[in-house]
Amino acid sequence: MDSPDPVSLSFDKAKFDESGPPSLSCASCNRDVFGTYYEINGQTTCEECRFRVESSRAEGSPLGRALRALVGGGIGGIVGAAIYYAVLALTGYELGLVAIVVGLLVGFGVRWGSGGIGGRKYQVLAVAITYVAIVSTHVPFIVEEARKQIESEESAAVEPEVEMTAGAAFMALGLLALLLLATPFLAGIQNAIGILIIGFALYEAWRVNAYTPLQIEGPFQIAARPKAIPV
Amino acid sequence: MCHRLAHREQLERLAKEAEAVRGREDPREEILLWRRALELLPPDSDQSRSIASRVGELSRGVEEREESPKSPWRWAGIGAVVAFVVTKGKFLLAGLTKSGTFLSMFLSLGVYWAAFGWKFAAGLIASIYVHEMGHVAALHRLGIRASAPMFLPGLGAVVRMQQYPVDAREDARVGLAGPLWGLAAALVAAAVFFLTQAPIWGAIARVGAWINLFNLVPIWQLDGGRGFRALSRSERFGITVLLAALWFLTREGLLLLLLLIAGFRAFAAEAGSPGDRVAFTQFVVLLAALSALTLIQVPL
Repeated sequence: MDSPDPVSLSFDKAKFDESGPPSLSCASCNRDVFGTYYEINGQTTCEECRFRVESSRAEGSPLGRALRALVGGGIGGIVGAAIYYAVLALTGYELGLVAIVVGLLVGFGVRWGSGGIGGRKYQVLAVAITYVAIVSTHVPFIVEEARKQIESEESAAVEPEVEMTAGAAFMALGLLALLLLATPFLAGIQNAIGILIIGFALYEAWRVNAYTPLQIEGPFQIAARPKAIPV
Repeated sequence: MCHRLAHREQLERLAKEAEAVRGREDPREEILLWRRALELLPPDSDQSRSIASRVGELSRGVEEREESPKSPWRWAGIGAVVAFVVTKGKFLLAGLTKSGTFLSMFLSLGVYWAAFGWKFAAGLIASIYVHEMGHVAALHRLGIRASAPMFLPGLGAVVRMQQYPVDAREDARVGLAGPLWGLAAALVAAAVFFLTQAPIWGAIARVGAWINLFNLVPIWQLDGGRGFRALSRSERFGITVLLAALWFLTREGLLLLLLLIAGFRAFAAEAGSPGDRVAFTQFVVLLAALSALTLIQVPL
């Protein structure tokens, strides 16, 4: 359909085609809003979702919410680390944009688990999971290097086997974990960009879990739309 | 609801001004006025649709007038690249007069300098800057208001649009302009490398090409995502096949990432989209040329 020349338009009232003005839809469930609706932190919300949002903040114990946030953030971290590793393995580069995706996945996972409350402890949790998710992507490269090292040592000389106790093995694993957590900082200023990239991810995880008090306005009324009459 | 428009007087004034400048050889002034009117209207109103349609028509006119006979060969050859740098040099320098761009650029330069040394850092910053100015030039041409480029150390740089393109074609022109200018910058660096054999120029050309190729990943708000939106299903499949061939030839891992996402988006495309021949051609040229530049071997 050809649009009329805009110069000839009237700007007295907004005009809409036969379907009428766009209906309001609930920001939470995406369904059209009829009758009563609310605005929660500026977002249009239907009556059903208003009560769901409110009750999700109150339900469960703080420990239960923290555990759920840990699980949600953990799943986000695993998915994020898989994406981060895939891009790193394919391209050979650590990319700021991909790090942001990891931060967002973890951040939203934690936020889901916390019932959308957010706050300092959830921010710290999200940041910790994001950091671990990103540094964990270095594990395959470290393992590969260690394997090469062992192979070259084995081919050079046969050393007598040393028996390792469970305690020593545990200690070695702990030291390796600490080393892994420190990897971004081991290269110092040379890895300034790598540290910045991790910083972007941590910032996103932190930002998503900022405490947001519920500001509920309403109820408002919207006129029911007349049903279409078949002709 | 009475649907009375709160900005009626302003809208009527803008319409009068647009009518007064109608018919001028350069339609950009009319485009600017209608875009301002669009900001004041509900997006789904009849008035908004009419004005968006007029803006689309005018911006197509700008494109046809500026690009018609020479466009297919515009990017071919080093001569064209040199001509590009000379003709766009003034525009590139003008971008540096914005304090936000200048300061953030120096901050980024410091970070890259610490990691890679000043020569490579300067080349990298220049590549990113030229890429961003490509977006700025396209936005300016289409009369879309936007911020000056802001550098984000470790991430690149961004230009924030303050108005939105009226259709997928405009979005594609804005999105792909960055990589097109970035390609020109990488070609200049590659030419200097082949003439002088100085490894630093090879490194700048290669990394510049890689960054622009990464921006072509057809997802989200990346340049490739904007360009891909305008393509028909068959054009998207064409790009996917091209990516497979380029990956086979170059073994560049990034192309595999592009291939996977482009393939997914080709299947997910809405049937019946008319497509965009110009965006398709630009995509093909960009992918082929940038992939070739990633093959530059930099002597250590």
